[in-house]
Amino acid sequence: MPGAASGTVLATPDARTREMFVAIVPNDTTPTALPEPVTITVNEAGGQPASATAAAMTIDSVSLPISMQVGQRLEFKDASGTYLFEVTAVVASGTRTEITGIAREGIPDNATAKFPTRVGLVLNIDTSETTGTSTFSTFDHNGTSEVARGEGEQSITSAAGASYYNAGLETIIYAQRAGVDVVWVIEQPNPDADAFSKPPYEWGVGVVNDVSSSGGVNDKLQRSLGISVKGGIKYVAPVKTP
Amino acid sequence: MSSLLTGLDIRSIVATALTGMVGTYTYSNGATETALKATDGAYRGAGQPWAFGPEVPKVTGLEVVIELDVEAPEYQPYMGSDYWIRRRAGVTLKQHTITATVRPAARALVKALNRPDVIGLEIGPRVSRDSRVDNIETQSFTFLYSTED
Repeated sequence: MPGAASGTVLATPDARTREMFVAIVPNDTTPTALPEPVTITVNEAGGQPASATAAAMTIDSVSLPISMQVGQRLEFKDASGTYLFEVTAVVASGTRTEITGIAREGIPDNATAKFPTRVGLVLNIDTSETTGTSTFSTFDHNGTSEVARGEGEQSITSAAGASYYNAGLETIIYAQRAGVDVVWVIEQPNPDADAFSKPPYEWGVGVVNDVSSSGGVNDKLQRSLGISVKGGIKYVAPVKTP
Repeated sequence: MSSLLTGLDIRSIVATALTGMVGTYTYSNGATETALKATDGAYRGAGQPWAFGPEVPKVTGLEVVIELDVEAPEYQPYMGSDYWIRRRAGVTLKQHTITATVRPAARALVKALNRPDVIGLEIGPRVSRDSRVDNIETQSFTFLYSTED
């Protein structure tokens, strides 16, 4: 789809093209670079059997952009369904061929998941980026106050359908309850898919401050989500197609 | 995805709930069948009610008509390509036997449809007979169900 770069009209992108990914990180740590989501593929002949206890699962060799922490949920998918995997042991970043966790239902061979985990069933992704200011008068201000820059505040608010299989949402709920930080990645609309092979990203680390659930008798069950950003939102520019 | 229903599930729920209560269609050649039909051809199931084309059969006893999509479906898109769809289906009970009523069938239907994956059940008024000409007692029900179908 040509965007503003190749067209004559500056078009507003659809918000629906954005997607959010999350991963648990050790408290008070920030990845050194964008943890761009990678695909994890099950490599178990006959699939990973169902078990209520932790077990190792072989995966195709993949380079994890950040370490995978306890409590991380992965949403494996194949043509026939979706399967949740709960990580129970830390997996260091770098090239890995095994992860350990609980597959409460069997996961077929070759099923794939994204890490960091995509948050599914998302109704909205809203960011708030504000800078506190204070005004004060000067001796000769000609009617205009001076402004001093105060503290900034950044946060993300969202709402998502509360499915057990919504691994990104389950990861956020775990993080709130366990008191651990998350790294979040928001994939922005690609300004011009003909010009850029990778879209721009916004990402950062934050504290989950809201996972409240709601749903009346005739409603879909849903949760509101809130993340207070620590250390600022970072921006990664789109990458030009080679 | 166990909370999702299909049109065939709806037909099965209704048919099971009304077992033994449904009347009979009789065609001009003497053929008969159970007086339960779905207006959506895909969900009529066994025993095509319109096996004889446009002929209107004689009905005795309770007739049950299932209608799918009695309103436009509800559709909720999410970020990316996630979504859900809810359809509103309807069931109409018609009692053709002048000495009988739809009440037992209506009770059985409410019990059957009062389940967690069926929501927004609306029970219409029981329209009683007004005259010898208008001699069919009817009651309609509509409800929502989540589906991929």
